Amino acid sequence: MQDTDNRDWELGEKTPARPGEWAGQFEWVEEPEVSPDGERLAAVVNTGEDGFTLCVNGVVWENLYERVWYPRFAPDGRLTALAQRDGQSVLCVDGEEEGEWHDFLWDTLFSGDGGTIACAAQNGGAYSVVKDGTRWEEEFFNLSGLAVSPEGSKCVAVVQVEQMPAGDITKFQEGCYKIAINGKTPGARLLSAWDTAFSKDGAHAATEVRVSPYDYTIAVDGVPWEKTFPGVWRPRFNPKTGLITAPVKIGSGWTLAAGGEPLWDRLFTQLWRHKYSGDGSRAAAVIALRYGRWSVAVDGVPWENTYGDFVDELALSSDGSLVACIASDQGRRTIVVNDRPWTGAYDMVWPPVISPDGRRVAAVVESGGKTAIAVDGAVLASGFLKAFPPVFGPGSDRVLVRAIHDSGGKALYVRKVLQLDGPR
Amino acid sequence: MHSLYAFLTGSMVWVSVLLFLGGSVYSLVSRAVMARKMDKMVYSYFSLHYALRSIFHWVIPYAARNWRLHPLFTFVTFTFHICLIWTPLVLFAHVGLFYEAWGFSWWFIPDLAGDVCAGLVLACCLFFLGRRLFLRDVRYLSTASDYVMLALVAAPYLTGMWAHRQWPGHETALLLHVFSGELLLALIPFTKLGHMLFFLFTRGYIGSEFGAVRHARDW
Amino acid sequence: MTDEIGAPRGHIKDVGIETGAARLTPEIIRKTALRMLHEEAGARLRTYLDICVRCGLCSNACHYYNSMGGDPTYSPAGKVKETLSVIMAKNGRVDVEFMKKACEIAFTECNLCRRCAMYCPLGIDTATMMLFVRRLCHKLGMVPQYIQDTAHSHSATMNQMWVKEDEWIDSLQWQENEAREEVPDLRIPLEKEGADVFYSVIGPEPKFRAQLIYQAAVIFHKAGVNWTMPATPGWDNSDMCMYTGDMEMMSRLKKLHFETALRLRAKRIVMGECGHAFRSVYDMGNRALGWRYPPVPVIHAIDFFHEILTQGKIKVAQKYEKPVTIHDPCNIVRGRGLHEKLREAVGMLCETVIEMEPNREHNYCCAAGGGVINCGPPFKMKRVLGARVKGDQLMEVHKKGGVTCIAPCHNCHGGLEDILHHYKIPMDLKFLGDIIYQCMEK
Repeated sequence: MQDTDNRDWELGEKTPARPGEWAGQFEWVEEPEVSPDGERLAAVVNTGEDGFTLCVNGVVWENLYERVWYPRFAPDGRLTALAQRDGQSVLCVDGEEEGEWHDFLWDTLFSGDGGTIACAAQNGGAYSVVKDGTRWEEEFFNLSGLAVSPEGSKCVAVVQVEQMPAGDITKFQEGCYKIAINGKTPGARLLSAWDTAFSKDGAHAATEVRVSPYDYTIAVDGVPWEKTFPGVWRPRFNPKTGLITAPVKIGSGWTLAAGGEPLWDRLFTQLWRHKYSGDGSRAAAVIALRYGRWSVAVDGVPWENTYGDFVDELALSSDGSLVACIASDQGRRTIVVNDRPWTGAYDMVWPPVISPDGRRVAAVVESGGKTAIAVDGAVLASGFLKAFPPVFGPGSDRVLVRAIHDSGGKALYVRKVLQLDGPR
Repeated sequence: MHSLYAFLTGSMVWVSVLLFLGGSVYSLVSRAVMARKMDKMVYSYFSLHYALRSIFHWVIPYAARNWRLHPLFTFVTFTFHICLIWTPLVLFAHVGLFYEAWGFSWWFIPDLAGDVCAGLVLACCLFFLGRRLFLRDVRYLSTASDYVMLALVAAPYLTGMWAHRQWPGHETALLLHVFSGELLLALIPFTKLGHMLFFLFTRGYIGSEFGAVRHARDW
Repeated sequence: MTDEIGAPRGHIKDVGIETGAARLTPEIIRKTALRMLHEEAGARLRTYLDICVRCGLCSNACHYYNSMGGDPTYSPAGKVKETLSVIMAKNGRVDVEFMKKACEIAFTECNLCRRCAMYCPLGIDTATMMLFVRRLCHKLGMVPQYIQDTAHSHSATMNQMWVKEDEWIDSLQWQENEAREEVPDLRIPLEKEGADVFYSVIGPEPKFRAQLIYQAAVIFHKAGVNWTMPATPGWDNSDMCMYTGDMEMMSRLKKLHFETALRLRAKRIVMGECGHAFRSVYDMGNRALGWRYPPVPVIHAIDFFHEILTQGKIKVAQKYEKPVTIHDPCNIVRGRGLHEKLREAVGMLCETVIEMEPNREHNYCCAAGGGVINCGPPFKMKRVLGARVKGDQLMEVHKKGGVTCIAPCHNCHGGLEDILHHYKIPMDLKFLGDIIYQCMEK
């Protein structure tokens, strides 16, 4: 969760960066990233013969590299990027190289508060994880699906623990993969494993796993549930009770299950990407109510409206009273809040952001090549070349707009704090 | 013999018609219900426009490429199916029976023309038998039931002609004609003759898939 | 009267089939088959079996039948007779040897090309039935080794070629570096949110044919396309699980692919020149997940190249001079009707086109599709012999002066390469992207 209180919530507009002017200084400027507080805009720039670096509010990092990529702001505002030189990679944080150089680094991830930064690493064909500059002692034949626990104590990844000769289908089916937790692999051998979810306190990790060519289930801290299914999707922990739930396939339909037993009393054509409200009182999931018609089910009860293309990016207010998502029908996308779609439909919609009081929803929307910030279905600020996700103020009455607009043919980054009308 | 004839042209007509209609409705409805449960996409993608487009190209001789690749077969199969279905419906003798029983009639063809049509059906059956016997792939594919089906289809037309032409044993032939006709009708929903019922749906469905989803022709 | 029918089957020893068969008993087969018949043999399948009148009109639709001297066991209805008809009629009471033979037929003698569906007057879709047999084989643990290994790769890495996460990114960055030698300001934008185009490829591109990514990058760059590729799994659109009958894994693969495009807020998925992947993304994978149509519009490379050529975003500097012929990949022709766009694009790029006959929807498959080439070396010769009619077509084109065969599909390339080599046809093979890259103004 971002600490929104320490930001500048004074109403008004700032222009921290003029990316349009950078274009003249560099060979090219790549896609910009913005800091959580909106005070800094950063982009990878090609300085010409000397190489690549990051430009932050017009100021470049000191070091130049053959390549700089994957610039990402941590939730605490630190700016990270992956840099390469002479076939080696290093993680840069706020312009400083952190830790050793590796043969390859990728997939930078953060803990919830940004205090922990982790990357997947490969050295000499051996795979590991680098957490806050320190590499796991253990190395593996392959590594994927890296995840960092919310409070930063754990890194979990799917690792290959045994080499497979090419084409050895028997060996694969015996299980060559495990779940590594901070480098240790206490659990069972698996055929494959994918997404991991953590408990709120980071004490436990649950991963969707394949335990036989036909059986899928959830592994908790690497140990699979006894009950298996013909299909499972990503699990979640109830933030209040710690109960692990996952979408599972039973017969020809899907439902939400806990500990291997169905939690919801009906089957859907599809069910995935479920989420809990902050207080754990409600769960919502994306469902296909019938073939080709998508919707949302809250605590197992489907919404009335359905959509033909997809429903995605569920968000729940902390008390669960508000559920929002992106929905698309016939190529037009919109935001749906508690089963009511916004009146506007757009070419593109970014994930809904819910205000701290759980009463408002904001999102970046795009139409005709221009992006805008919309709140509760009405456009708040528009005409941008690019807009970053809006942030609600602690009182839910202000919105931080971070966007780039065209100012006389040159891109200008603006940071605005706008007042919202009275309570809905 | 008269009582047998009366039975065959009385109660058995109803039995065969009921079996045909009831069996057809059952076949179609049970498959529709099964599709609703297990083949949901059939309903989702079925498009009347593209189904008809496909069916249209396959019920016109030589409109589909495969018809053109088999010119003789195409001629025979269209002749066969047209004569097979229309002859009993518009034959004077049959229309006359309806008139006697129900007091109404419709357009009919003279008995001589009926004989010609029945002869065509039989000739076509012989052609199909020849294919089953002499074409390598068709012989391999054919099972005993295919030969029995062919005989069942030919039987009412052969016996009908026999009876009408008053050839020796025509009284027995008439009984066999009525019986085989009723048997054939009753068996349609329960045998491969069911392609008569399902053609519109299977062709229509693949036509929908090709047309509406894959934007391609299927003929 | 007898004649020899039925190609010898079972003499090709495949590790996957043999080890799978060694674990089977008739009882296991019966139980598994009964469960599948009960749970998955729906109205379509049963109706197809019920109404086939065995007229043999499908026989000459099949390139295997036409290539194998009219051996009736290779006719579509013949393959059904040899496999599913028996399984259904006997309620799964078949022995291990029968299943081995059925496995070989379903996996290596049918390309699921759907040509027979458009030659059957009743519209019977034999591919659906062969896929059912393949799925039964999957459930029995009896799948040819090479394609099973590929399916395992999908499971472990979410791509077809055991490409590790770092190798994927490294390959793109390597191709970007290479391309910058030619086009200094070229980029392969990774993880760019909100791009117009999410470009996805199949596993073999980064592994064996990285120059295709290079070429695509140059074409997109010159056409001014706002595009991106992901730096995460989900980049691979290919799907051999679809062909092994592992529909659960097929679903997982497509889910990740679509989720990745949705995560990057891309307006369209443009995919490389691959046929089976298109079938998976556009037709089968989405359906298995409950999507009537893909949640993000899916555009095959041919469609996209046609678009940028006709919009003038790519200018042709000099037309390709050697006479070309066009191979129509089943999955984008019978699968998406792109044959006319393909011809229009080729017409804009090449001086002379010599058509193979038959063509467009009536094309002959290269015999590599449907996962057959992925069953690997043990079945290579059978595949090449099964494509003799394709060889004849190509030879005709060669005699008329044809030099280059344009085949916008990876598996077609693999199949056609073997055909050209085996039947000694001196022609070369190109993707449409190869031709565009060669002929465009750079």
